[in-house]
Amino acid sequence: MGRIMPPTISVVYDQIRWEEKAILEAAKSRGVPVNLVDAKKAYFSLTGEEPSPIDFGDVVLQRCVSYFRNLHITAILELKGYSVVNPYRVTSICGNKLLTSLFLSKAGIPTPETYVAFTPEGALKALDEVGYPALIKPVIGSWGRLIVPLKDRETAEAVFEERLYMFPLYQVYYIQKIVKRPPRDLRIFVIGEEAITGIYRYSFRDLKTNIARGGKAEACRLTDEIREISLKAAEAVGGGILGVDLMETNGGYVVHEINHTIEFHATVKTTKVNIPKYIVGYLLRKAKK
Amino acid sequence: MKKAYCPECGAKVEVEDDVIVGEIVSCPDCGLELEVTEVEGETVKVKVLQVSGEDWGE
Ligand SMILES: Nc1ncnc2c1ncn2[C@@H]1O[C@H](COP(=O)(O)OP(=O)(O)OP(=O)(O)O)[C@@H](O)[C@H]1O
Ligand SMILES: [Zn+2]
Repeated sequence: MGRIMPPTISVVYDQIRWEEKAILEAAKSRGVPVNLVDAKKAYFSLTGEEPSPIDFGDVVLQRCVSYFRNLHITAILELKGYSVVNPYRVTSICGNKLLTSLFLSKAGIPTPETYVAFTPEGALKALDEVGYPALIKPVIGSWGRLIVPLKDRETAEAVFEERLYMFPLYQVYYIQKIVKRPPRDLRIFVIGEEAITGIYRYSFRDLKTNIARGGKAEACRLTDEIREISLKAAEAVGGGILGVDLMETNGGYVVHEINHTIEFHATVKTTKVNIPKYIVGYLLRKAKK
Repeated sequence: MKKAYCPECGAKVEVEDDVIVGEIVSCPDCGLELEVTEVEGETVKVKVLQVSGEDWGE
């Protein structure tokens, strides 16, 4: 009888940020071997045996920043039998704001009032329902990119006119009511069945000027209410390693998005919670061994 | 320590010995973010980090 070997992990990446290094460190300190796979150099066979097989170990952590790369590689590996974190279904829902709204709403989780249309004409009708001002957001994309406030009908028409010349993705008109909230969001980190920590993110983004991301992070004490809504939201999209974004409104918390490939450098710095350690622990539980 | 040279301003950038392809380092002189593309030898290769793609995110 040989000694039982620990499971091995692979990390599929396109950039090595602080997060990826921290995950590698955490794995190393548990004696877990990690194979780093540079997605930019890889190629896959969709129809047969891999001509140059890559060692993906017993569980795959998907960390690609490019969403299409992330989602497609996850699909390939899952279909080839690997355990991938997060799974394809979860990533496909979280990476798409339209699907996220649908799944949150179906699970009865408070989320901002949202409509979708597929032409400027339809979008203008939706806006009559929501009222002005409202937000238009790309269904795929992050960091506030191309989120535009529509203050009145003229603005909406001008913005839609511009979008007509853009990629088909921008012909999906995702229109959301602006909620009244303090100038901060909550980001709650859910790993498996547990909400492990959270931060307040103070955005100095002016929705009118749409000034880039960034801003200050502050530790957030997880109340039962915050825990409950975050865990339910994570469950609604299938669960995994997730960052649940909440806003505070007069009527309580609303969830507006769930992140599937979390950034956590600022959170670890502010909260001192060892997120990488939790990630590695979760991966070991998901290992096919 | 290994080193790299900033493709923009030519400054010398110090890089950890355990550097990995894909790692992001920033130029101490001009602040530009650089992506490591090759790690063989004492001088590693870097290129200017692509700012962001439309599908990039969390
Ligand atoms: N319905 C809303 N009402 C008021 N403010 C909103 C609304 N939706 C989003 N915001 C603000 O705009 C920010 C960006 O929105 P959202 O998270 O949906 O986009 P994103 O591109 O995924 O951004 P990020 O990746 O930073 O979370 C939010 O963090 C929030 O502060
Ligand atoms: Zn420089």
